[in-house]
Amino acid sequence: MKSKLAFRPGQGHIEDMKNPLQQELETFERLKDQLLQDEGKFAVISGKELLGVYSTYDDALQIGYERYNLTPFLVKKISAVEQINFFTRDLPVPCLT
Amino acid sequence: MPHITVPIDRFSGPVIALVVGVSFAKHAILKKQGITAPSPVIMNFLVDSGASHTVVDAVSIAPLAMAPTGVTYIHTPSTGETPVAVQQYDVSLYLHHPDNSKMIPNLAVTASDFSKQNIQGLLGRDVLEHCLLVYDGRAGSFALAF
Repeated sequence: MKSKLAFRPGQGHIEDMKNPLQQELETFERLKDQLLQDEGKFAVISGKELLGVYSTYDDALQIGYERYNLTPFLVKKISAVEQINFFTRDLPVPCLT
Repeated sequence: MPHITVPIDRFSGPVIALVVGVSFAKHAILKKQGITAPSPVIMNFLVDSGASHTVVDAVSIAPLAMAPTGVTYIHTPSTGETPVAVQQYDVSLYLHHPDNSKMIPNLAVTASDFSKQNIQGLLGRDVLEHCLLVYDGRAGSFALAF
């Protein structure tokens, strides 16, 4: 998803920023048809590897850290329709390019 | 049901102090590696039923050395027709109560800039859905039961 602005956490300003989990998102999209068999659960992905699917966010996060330690990994809820979060106030958000 | 009653801030509204730390999942792996987890930080959250999830101030959580573990999509009044992708971070959230404190060990939040708003975050409906919120404008206070 394309966006124009990005917020750099901890530095208080807005600028372009790439998504550090882009490859994991692409893996998620590539595997989505397969993952939808477990809709509502949480997928754990690092790079091109799907670690597994777990019933709760807590379980997925715990197992992700146990497997990948402090290297990047993605925890994402499996949903046929992407869940959108709504805010009634404006936010200078960390949008990803 | 334990609850706390807090005066409504004249300027900021229903604001509550919460302790934000690294998630329990991350804390466990840091401990396993012999790394001391960053100290939690106390942050003032606006109780915001207009926020579908909880947001934290990016500058305030910088000491926690967070790395993103998620991506989600958001709509705000200025995002137009297309939602934008934002990073999610895993944190723990602690609400102190003298008898029965509330701890959320692993919560996915997004980060934003609240430096000009006298708050450090929005307490959204992902947390409020587990609570009872009473906003008593006449008394100038609100109560959060959990």
